[in-house]
Amino acid sequence: MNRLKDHVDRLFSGYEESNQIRELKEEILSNLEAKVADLTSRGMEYHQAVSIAEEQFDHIDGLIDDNKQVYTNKVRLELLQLTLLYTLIAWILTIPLRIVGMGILLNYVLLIVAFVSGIGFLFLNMKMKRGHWNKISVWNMKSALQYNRWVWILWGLFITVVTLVTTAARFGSNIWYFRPVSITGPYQWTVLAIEYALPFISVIIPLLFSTSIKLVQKYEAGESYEGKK
Amino acid sequence: MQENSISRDFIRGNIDTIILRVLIEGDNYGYEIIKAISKNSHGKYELKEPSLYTSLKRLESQQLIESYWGDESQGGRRKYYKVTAAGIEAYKHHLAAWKTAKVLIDQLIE
Repeated sequence: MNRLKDHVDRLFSGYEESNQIRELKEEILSNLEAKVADLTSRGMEYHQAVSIAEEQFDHIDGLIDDNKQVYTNKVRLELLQLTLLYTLIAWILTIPLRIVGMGILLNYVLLIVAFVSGIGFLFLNMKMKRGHWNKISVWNMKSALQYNRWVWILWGLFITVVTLVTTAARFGSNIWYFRPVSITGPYQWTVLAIEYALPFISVIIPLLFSTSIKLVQKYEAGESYEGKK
Repeated sequence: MQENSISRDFIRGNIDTIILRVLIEGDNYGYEIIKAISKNSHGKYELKEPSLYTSLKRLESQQLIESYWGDESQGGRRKYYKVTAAGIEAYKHHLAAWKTAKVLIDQLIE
């Protein structure tokens, strides 16, 4: 009996204990026990019966509420495409920002990311044409949405902190160095504006995260897939 | 093998009805439902456990069946399923639809 219980516990490891999970665990365990009892009553060795019960029931991902089975590579492909698109747009937007040192760096980084995601896209596209499109993975929507919220909160904090730091560095000179702030012309004004604007390019990251959740809903494999794993 | 997986696909769309039929004969729990289905098919069809639980969950959410916990068995408690009035209606409806479809498909592909 203990071996079966361990097996069921293992199946459910990684899932938070909730009422739904506890009931499902209990139900599955009692059914597996009934199965083993049935097999042994027909003359099978106990250990062999347990092994059969374990083998035939080796995943529960499709049974949990909020879990979605998703065509992984379809999601990846569209995500790579969007990464390429977003970084290209950001790259174009940051070209005029190259007058600031950080702007040059960011501009290059974006170009590299665009290049890498472009290559990744072509590679995956080729692979999928060779029949790799039906790979499945499981997403728990509840935790995905939670992560998504955290990503946006962190991003908000990041922007707030960076903006405050920029402000402190630029306008705090009054306090640090007893020197008044002076913006002497349009060039300096532009440099300042760029310093404020640069961090906002990072909105790409939470944006892609949210998009991936939408893609997961779009490419859900659905129930026709159950049991084929 | 090929033939077998094709007939599994045909059956998959009707699992809910198959389970309803078993439950109309009397309240039952998971493993016994699988056994009853295997017996009804003379051992030719074995319902997989994940499909069973998915289907039971779907039927319960559609209020075609209800569940209750039975007495303690040797191990844990058993969860039994009971068909509702709506479930019996749904079964009759599916059965009639299947009979119509069967005749039609026979005419079309034979």
